[in-house]
Amino acid sequence: MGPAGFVAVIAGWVTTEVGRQPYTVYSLLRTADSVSPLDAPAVASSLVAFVVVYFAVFSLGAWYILRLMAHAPMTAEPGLEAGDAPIRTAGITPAPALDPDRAIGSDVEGR
Amino acid sequence: MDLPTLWAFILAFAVFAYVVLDGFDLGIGILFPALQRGSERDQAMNSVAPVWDGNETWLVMGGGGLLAAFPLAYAIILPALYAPIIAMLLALIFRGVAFEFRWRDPAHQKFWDVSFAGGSVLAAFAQGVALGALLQGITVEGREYAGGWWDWLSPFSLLTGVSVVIGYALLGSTWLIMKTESTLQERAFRFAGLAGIGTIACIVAVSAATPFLEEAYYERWFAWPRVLFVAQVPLLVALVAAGLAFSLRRRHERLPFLLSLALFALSILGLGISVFPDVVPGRIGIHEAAAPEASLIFMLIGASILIPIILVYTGYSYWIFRGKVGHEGYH
Repeated sequence: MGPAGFVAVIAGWVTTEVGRQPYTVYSLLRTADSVSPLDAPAVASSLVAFVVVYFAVFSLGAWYILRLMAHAPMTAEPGLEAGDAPIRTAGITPAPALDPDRAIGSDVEGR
Repeated sequence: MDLPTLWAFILAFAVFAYVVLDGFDLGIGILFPALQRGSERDQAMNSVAPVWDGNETWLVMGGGGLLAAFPLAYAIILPALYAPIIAMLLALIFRGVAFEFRWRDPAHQKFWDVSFAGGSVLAAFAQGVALGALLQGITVEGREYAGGWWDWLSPFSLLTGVSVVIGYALLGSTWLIMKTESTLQERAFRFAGLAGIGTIACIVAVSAATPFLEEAYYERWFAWPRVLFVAQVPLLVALVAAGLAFSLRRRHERLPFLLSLALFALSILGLGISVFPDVVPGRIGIHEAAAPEASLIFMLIGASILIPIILVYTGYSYWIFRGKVGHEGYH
């Protein structure tokens, strides 16, 4: 069932975008009247650039997550007070700050 | 002061806040290749890690505010600056992810260092190019952008692109002086001296070229008796530049950063003198481009609640992370 959420979100998105055609603002502004005065090659090259960059960055991110998941769970998870490094409030666990052994590649090149 | 003018000043403030705040953290990325691997780079990155993404708040506010307050200007400027803006956004992605991946993945740290430095340089350069492309005048027909997709590229926009990279390097190096100690600080003093000379040279070059781009700019600088007032800006730039040189020589730790901020404030004031009261320089005035009064009032209420909140939490986070950055681990 994992991907079902993604399928639902994307299907909903497609439905709204296709459903409101030929309008951008329903019954007020037509799509044909709201396009930017941009040359086609400008739009094409920026689209290609975004696709390439997003695929590269998301692939690397997914690869890192899978690498992290491949580690066995820690038996004694250290609390936040274990290190005195400042932590980010965004909810990212600064694992490598607390335990350098948990950084990806620490087995390759010790830090 | 009427509403469009008030909004023009609010947006000018957002642009100033963005340029100086993201300016110093992009500056860290620009200096990165010149820092030694290991402790120096770690410290430099840690010194901006807690604040850099908050600094980009003001980019969102500047862009969103332009769309909401001056929709006509937004519709003309964004297509005109399409290529540099897309390049800036892509560059900011590479630089942003480097803050995390560099620490998570020490085995590929070199790669993420390149991503951080390259992204920072490209983002700064693209911002400068966008500024130059806007100043040199964009082709407008009726209420639409009517130029091509390479119009932004010119000797002047390349000059402003390089100028912004050098100016951000000055902000970054004076920030490092304030936040670090010993060898890294000593290195930052050297960079600040070089970047300071470069920044002053760039300010002189851009200021000398700008009045001749458009008749209106020339009038706004040299018309009598206006020249008596606006001539204070270059005089103040000279004073601040002298103060910067003095403070670097005397090894002040905070003063160089504050004087660099002053240099940027004066530069933006100078831009304002060239451009005001236009929002698309030389083409469209702020009153012509402004949204209906009801929208401006509605947004003003929102802005008067939100901007103080943003300023307070931003100030608080800078206060929490005050002082020297230290040597320890992940931010």
